[in-house]
Amino acid sequence: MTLTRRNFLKTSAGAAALGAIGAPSLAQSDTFIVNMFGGRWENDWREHVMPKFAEQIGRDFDLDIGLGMAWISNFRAAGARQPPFPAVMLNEKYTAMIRNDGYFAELTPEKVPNMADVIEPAILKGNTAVTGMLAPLVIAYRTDLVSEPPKGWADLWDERFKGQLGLYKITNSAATMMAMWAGEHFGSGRDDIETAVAKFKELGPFPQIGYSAQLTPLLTQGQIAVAPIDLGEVKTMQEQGLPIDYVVPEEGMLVFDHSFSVFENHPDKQTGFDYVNFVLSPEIQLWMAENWLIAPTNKTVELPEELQKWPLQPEVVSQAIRFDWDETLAIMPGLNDLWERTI
Amino acid sequence: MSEATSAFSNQRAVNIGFGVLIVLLYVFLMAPLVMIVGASFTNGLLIEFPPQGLSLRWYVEFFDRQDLVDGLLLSLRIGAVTAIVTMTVAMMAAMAGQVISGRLSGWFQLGMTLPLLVPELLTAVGLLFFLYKIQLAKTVMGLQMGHILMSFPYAYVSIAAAMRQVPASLEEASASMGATGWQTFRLVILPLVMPGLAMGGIFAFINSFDLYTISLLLKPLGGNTLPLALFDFLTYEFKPTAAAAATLSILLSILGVALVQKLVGLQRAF
Repeated sequence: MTLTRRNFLKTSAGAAALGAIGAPSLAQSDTFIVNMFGGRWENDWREHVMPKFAEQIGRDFDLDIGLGMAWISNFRAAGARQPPFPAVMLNEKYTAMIRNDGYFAELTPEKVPNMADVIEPAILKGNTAVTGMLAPLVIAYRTDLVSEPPKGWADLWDERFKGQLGLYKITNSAATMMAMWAGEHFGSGRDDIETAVAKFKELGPFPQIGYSAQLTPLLTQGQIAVAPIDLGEVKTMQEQGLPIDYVVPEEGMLVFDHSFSVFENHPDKQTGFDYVNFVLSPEIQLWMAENWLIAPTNKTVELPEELQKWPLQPEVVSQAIRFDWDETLAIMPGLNDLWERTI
Repeated sequence: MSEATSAFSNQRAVNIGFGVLIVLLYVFLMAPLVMIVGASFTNGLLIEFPPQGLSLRWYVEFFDRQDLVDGLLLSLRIGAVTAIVTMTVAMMAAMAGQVISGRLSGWFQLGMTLPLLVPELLTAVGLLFFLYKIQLAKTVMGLQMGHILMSFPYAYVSIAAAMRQVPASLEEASASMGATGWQTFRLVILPLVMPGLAMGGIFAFINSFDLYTISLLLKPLGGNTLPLALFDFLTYEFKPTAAAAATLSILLSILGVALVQKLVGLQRAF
């Protein structure tokens, strides 16, 4: 067919009409939608987890993929009265931002029966959220480049690791937690941000990375030899045959906690409770442990033999260093500003 | 050495200097593209240049990844509708701009390019609140509106420039020969502004295809554009699949330019 101007315009008009007709379809469907991180998290959740829940409720499902701040912006724009979906998973840093604004329903074992079996630190302030995923943050190191591995967080300041470290950007909650730990360890308390930032400046220069998966290439290529990182990334690198090992810091490991909440004013609130209950079920908690090295918060989960070598047991996870995110949020603007200006 | 020889040497040195400058400029512009395209063919596990071996495995993985393919399809759909709508609306605006004269004309031109002057993030936040008010937040339609808004100025600038090249006498001549307004537009104006119109559409499409911030806040439930899907991918998996996706995006842009060449010829479009 010859591509004439008339053909082009006709085709264009047809495409526009089709686009416009199909536009509102997602908004009007009866699909159950919840949020999830992207990448392998999304793929695994779509392929292995959500089909089971969709079968349980007899409805199709979809995932809203993104990151914490974009979700929070949407919830704030929507207001507590018209949340975009019934249940939500957030890093506790973000949960804390809106938990006092009337968005979330109270979670109780009557509404979410599996809550009766979760470890105590998993139930967050005001019963507005329950931690469904605990991702341990350990210190990974290259066994071929480090002769004497660090034992804990404080060892990162040892001269032998100078120039070999990779760390997170202060916008990542891992860096926030490490800075607060440093304030407490080296200074007068968790809110001693001047001491914390000064101590991190001593470690420089070091690459600052936004997310764990971006630290992995630096460790893989040997550009850095030591880094705090998700346990799951350690497993992935080891499976690729890389000379990587890790230590659980003697002061206690940090954790990325992803908490689940239900929106009080969503018309599909009951399915939201069912979803949170489903995530906390022993079956899904075990699946996450086996596939992502996520520590189960459900105490009834029995970890198989091959997982016993990893620090995922409830008694280990319960001893992780935890933070009050309400207090942390109050400190964060000053901390972020000082960090950006200093390091 | 004579004056003529000296001037010739100086001119030669200037020419060589400019030549080197142009080569450096091309290197500066092309180096990121060459690196990302090269990295997409690596056989290794990391995004790196030069690539470790040659392989198409990351292209295979891209098309195996439903999240990335869905992102590509949504971006193509949003971009196509954006191009068509902005071409139409910008054409009408450019024609209106032609008949506005005096100081008002300057304000009109400024108004048409306002979305470029306001930070994208602020536009996105404002639109987000507005869309929730009219019950269109988190829908494809809401995202589409955002993309049209942000891409409109690119199409407008291109089409308005083309419109300014059309002598007003042609419209008068057409009218004096009995042509209706529609006939004058279809048979006289449209053929003359077609290169600018096509370029405006291509600019709008490419801009829409690349938009990140506004998509981040306005994206529909269950949907992701390709830039968002790629960012999510790179956040959790730093693999060369992203380089393969970027290479495909570059190819799409080249196809767009080829389309302009086929329809109106690049020389007429610039």
